[in-house]
Amino acid sequence: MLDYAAIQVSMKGWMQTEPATKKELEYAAKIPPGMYEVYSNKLDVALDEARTVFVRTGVSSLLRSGDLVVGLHNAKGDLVTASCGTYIHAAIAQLPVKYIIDLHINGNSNVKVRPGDIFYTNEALVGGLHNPDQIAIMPIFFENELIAWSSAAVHQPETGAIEPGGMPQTATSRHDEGMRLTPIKIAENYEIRDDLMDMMVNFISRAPLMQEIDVRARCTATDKLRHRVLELAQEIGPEHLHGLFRKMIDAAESGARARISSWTDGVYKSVAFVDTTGKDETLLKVALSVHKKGDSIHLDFTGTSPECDGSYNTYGHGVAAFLATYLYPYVFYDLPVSTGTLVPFTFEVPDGSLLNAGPEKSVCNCVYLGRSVISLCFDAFTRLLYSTDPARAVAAPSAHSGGGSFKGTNSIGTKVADGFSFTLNTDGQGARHDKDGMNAHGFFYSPWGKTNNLEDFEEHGIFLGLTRRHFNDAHGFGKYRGGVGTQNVNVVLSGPVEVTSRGKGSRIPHDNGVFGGYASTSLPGISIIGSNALDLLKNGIDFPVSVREMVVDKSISGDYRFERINRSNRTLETGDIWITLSSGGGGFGDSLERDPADVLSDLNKRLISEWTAKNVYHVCIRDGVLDLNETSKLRTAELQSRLSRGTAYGTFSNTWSKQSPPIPVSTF
Amino acid sequence: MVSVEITPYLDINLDSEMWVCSTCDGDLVACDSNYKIGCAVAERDPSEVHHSEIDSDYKFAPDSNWCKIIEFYCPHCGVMIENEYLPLGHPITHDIDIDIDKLRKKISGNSHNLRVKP
Repeated sequence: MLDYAAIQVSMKGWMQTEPATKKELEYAAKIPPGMYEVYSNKLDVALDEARTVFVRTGVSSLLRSGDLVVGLHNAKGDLVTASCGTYIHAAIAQLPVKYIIDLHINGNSNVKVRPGDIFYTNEALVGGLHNPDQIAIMPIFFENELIAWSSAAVHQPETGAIEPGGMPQTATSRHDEGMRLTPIKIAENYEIRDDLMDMMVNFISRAPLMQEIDVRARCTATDKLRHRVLELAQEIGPEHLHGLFRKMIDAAESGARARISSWTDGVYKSVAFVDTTGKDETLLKVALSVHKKGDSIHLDFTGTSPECDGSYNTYGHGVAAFLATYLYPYVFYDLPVSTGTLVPFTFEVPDGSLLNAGPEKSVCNCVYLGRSVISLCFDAFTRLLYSTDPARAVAAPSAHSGGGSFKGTNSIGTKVADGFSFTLNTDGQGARHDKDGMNAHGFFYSPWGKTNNLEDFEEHGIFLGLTRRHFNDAHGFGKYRGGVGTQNVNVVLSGPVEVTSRGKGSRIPHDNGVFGGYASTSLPGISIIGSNALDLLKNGIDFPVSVREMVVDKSISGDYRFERINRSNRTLETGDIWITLSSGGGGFGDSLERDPADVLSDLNKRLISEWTAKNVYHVCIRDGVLDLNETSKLRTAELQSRLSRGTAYGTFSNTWSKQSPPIPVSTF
Repeated sequence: MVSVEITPYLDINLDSEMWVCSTCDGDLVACDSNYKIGCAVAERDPSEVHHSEIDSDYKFAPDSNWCKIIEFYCPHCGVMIENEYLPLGHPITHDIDIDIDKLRKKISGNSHNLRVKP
C-alpha cells in the first residue's frame, strides 16, 4: 500500500547518486582514449534531437516554449546527462525512475518492467515539483538487459484541478489539485494503452485534446532517445556504455568539487518574504544559510516558516530543483547536467516547513515559492562568489511575474485551457558585476525556453493582444540595473473565458538587488472590466496601451481593478481587459555610481521615468540633454544626505526592533 | 598590509582584521563581525525609490506598512554598501561571515584566485 511518509524518506536518499559497482568502475577504466569525448558528445546530440522532437510533436504553451527536459539515466536511475529546457528536473528527474526501480524491479510489485514499457507520472511526491509536471519514463533494454532509462518532462497547463490551469490559487490540500498519478505503465510493447489514455483525458476534460497530444509527445521523445542509445550500444557495446555513463557522472561530481574548492570558505545568508499563501495574504519567511567548506556546500533552510494552509508549499526535494535552476545556467554552465553535479551539496530543510511540507498539503504553486529559494541562491552565492569569480556574481532575476491561465472554447469549438506564458518567458535578468541585466531575457526556470508567438496565442480566437512590450520602472535600480520585465495587455474577443493569475510580491518584493542595488518593485494585478477597447479599435480611435499610461490616462472606459498579482479564478466577458506583468531583475551596486549617459539612454528608451532619473539616480537632464556638472552636485548632495540620515547600527536597531508589520512573520 | 576584495565596496584587511570601505579606505568594524554594524544605517519608505502613479491599496511599489528599505552606508564617504527590504522590525541579516583563518591560508598558498591589494 502507498506509504507517503516512507516515500518522503526514500526521496532524500535518492537525491544522491547510487554507489558505483565494481563492474561499472572496471568498464569506466577500460574506456579507450577519445571514446569519452566522442560518445559523451554523441549522447548529448541524441538528447538534443529528442528534445527537438518533443517540442515539435506537442501543443501546449510551455511545451512549445521549450520549457522542458529530456533525460538519460543509467540502469540504476541516476541522471547521466540531459537536454534542457528547464533545469528544474535536472536535479530530481532520477526520483521517479528510482521509485519505479524500487517498487517494480526490486520490490514485490506485480507490475514488471519490460522492453516497450513506458511509465507515466505526475505525482509530485515521487518526483517533479507539482502535478502539472507530467513525466514519461521508458526503460531501455539491449538484448534483454536493462541498460538505461530515458525520461521526458514538461509542465502541462491543465490538471483537472478546482480552477483551470493546474495551479489553483484557492487550493488548500492535495485533493484540490486534480489528477495525481503515481507511475503507471501507460505503454506496453511499444503501444500506448487506450484505456489509460482515456482515463487521463477524462481527468483533463477542460483540455482533452491537448492532454492526449502532449502525452504522446512525451512518449515519442523517450522512444526517440531509446533508439539512439541502442544504436550507440550496438556500436560500442553495452559494457563501454555502462563505463561511459559512470565516467560522465563521476566527471560531473569532480568538476563541481573542483569549482567549489576555488571559492572562499565562509557562511553566506539571505532571507526572502512571501506575502501570500495563494488564497490569502500572509507573511511567510524563507531563510537560507550557505555553508561553504572545502569542496562541499551545506544549505541550511532553518528559520523558514511552517507549511501554510494554501498552495505555496513544496516537498523537500524541491529545494534541490530550485538550487539547480540557479546553479546550471550561472555557475555550473560548463558541467554536465547530471545527478553527479549535485553530489557535493547537502541540505537541511526543516520537516513541516514551507519547503518540506507534509503529503496532504497543496504544493501546486510551489514554483512561486521556489522563486524565493532561487532568489536566495542568487543572493547568497553572489556574496560567496564575488571574491574569487566576480564574473559569476549576478543579482536575482525577476521573481514576481504574474503568469496565469485561461479556459475557454476556441474559434473552431474546441475546449482550450492554456497559459499566459508571455510574461513568464520575458522576465528581466538580474544585473551583473559589469553590465545591466538582459531585458526580457526569458524564464529563469527555463533559460533555453522562448516566449510563444502572439499569433500562436491569438489563434485561439479568445483574446486579442493589445501590447507586449518592456515594462518601465519595475526593475531593480543600481550601478548596473536589472533587466527590464514586460507588460502584456489582452482584451477578450470572445467571452466568456475563465482566467486566473499567479505570482506574489504585491506587498513586499524579494528578488533582491545586491551590493547596494535595489530590488525590483512590487506589482498589482490589474484588469479593466467592461472596457470599451473593442469599440475604440473598431472606430479607429487610438489609446495608450502602456499599462502605466493606461491606468493614469483612463481613456479606455471601464471598471479599473487593482488587486493582488495572484488572482483566483473568475469569468471575463467580451471586451474585458486582463493584464499580466513581470517586474525585472535586481540591481547591482550603488545607483549613484550609474553612468549618467546610461540613465539618459534608459530614459530615452522609456525603460525608466523622469522621476526615477531624478530621485533614484540623481541625474540632471534638461530638455533631453545631460547636465554633468549639476549631476555631480546632486550626487554629492545625496551622499551628504545619506550621512545625515544614517545613524549608528545600535541606535538604529533600538528603534527598528520596536516596529512590527500588520501581519506577524509566520515562525515555528 | 594585505587587503582582500570581498564585495565591490568591502575589503578585509588581514593585518588590522577590519572590514574596510574600498571606496574611501575607511575602517568599518572587526572582520569577524557583521560589517553592517560598522555602517551608517537608514530606514527608507519604499515610495522614495519605487514610483507608483496609482493611488490604490495595491501599487507599483512595495507596501510601506509591510516593509521598509534598510540602507547601509559607509559612515565616512556615504557610498551604499548594501540594502535590505525587510518587514518592519525584522532582524538585520548577517549575510557575509568569512572564515578568516582559511582566507589567510589561501592567501599564503602558492596560487589563489583572490584579488589582493598590497
